[in-house]
Amino acid sequence: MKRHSILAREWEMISAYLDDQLRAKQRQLFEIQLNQRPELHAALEEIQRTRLILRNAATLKAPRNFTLTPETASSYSTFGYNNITRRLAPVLSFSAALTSILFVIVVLASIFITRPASQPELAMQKVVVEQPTSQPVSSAVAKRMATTEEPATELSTPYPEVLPESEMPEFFEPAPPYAEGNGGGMGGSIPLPTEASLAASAPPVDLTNTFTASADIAPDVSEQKLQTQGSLEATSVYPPPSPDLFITATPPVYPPPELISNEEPRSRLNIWYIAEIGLGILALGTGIGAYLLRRSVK
Amino acid sequence: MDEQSMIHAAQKGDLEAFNRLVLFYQDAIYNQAFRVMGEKQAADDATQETFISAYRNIRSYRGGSFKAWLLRIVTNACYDELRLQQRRPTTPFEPYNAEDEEIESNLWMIDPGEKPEDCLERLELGNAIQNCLNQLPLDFRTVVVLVDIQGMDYQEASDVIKKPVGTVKSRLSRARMRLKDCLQGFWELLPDRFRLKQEGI
Repeated sequence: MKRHSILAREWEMISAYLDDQLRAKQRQLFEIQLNQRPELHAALEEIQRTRLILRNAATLKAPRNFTLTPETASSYSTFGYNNITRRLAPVLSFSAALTSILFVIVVLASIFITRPASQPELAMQKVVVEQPTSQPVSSAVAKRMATTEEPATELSTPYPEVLPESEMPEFFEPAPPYAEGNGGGMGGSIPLPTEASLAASAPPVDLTNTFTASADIAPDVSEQKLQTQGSLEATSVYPPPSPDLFITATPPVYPPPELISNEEPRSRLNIWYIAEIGLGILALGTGIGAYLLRRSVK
Repeated sequence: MDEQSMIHAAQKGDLEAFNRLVLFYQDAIYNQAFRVMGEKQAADDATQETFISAYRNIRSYRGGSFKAWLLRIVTNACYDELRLQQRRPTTPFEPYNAEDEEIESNLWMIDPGEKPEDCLERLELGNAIQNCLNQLPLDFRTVVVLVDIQGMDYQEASDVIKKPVGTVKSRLSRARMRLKDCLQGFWELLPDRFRLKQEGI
């Protein structure tokens, strides 16, 4: 038989002709071809024989009954689906282990790399922040007092000491409104009031008052009190104030409370928290998933 | 109880009704699985899986030929399993004879209790057909089993494999061509009735 003389399209026609899947017109044309071409007819016979053999192949009887019991109907199968779960369970287990290790690493890293400041360190930081409130009174003035014995006129200003701009802390704002009126505050351009004007405008200070720098600062620092009972008594490191020191000014102007940073220094970045939470959830989820899958496979 | 009533009952969870359907179709499903897989144990597993899957998803059955619906499930199960087998190829077990030489023929696997004529018949036809089917690509094999062994028409086969009728026609034609070439080597082994019919064509 000249097999190669038969086109693939004609083999399809032969097959469809045997299965009676050709339309009337196609069938008619094909039968004409069959009569004219012996090789096509021979091919038809061979395919017909093959088809007959297949159709007469013994029908196998099922080796057993495949009826389902309630248990088998509800249980997981051992074919197909189960293969997927069987492969998925170790993958999930591995993922759970990996994410758990990563979680521990991230937690340790966040502790050691971005360690939060200890309590004394925090206290020291606050002292540094609040230091300017006492510095003009305690250190600078007392220093001058100890060395030059300046008269009290310099201290009779509403604010005990005005620092030059270069030494001025950043958080000091230019004079608040009330300081403008009284000439107080730390604004460098505001002229210092005279004693007479202050006596006229400002109410007398209750000399029995004791000003405490801050309640939050460390105990040793908080003991630094600004006592105004006729003298400026800073700490024991400073010489005793002269008795003619009179402060007739308004209370010292502290920086606005909102400018004094009470928040903890930024010891941890948000990214660490996000990583910890994300990895924790992932580790937990994959672990539970792996456990459930393994349990279901069993 | 007719088939539709049993299907409706099974859809409502009646396992007994479903089992009647199983008894009715299990031979056809097992045949399909065996012809596609080529192994009895794998065919057994695939058949069991098919009925479990069918019972679980019977609510998704929307009418039409129930046999075709079952055949689609078993065909998909066979595809999945064969793909898995391709990923993890196994080494066939080869026994050794008294001289410690490997026995290459698989005749040693034949049950010695089997009658010679039955064995011959099985070897002549069943093995010939199955050997030739196993040599076909999976897509061709599926179509030829659906049409020539299960007796489906092109449209039904198209529904089972979810391909156009033209694809079924093309695959069937190519499968028959290859089977024809393959079976030519077994002509002498075929039972007389096929030879007689061959002469009568």
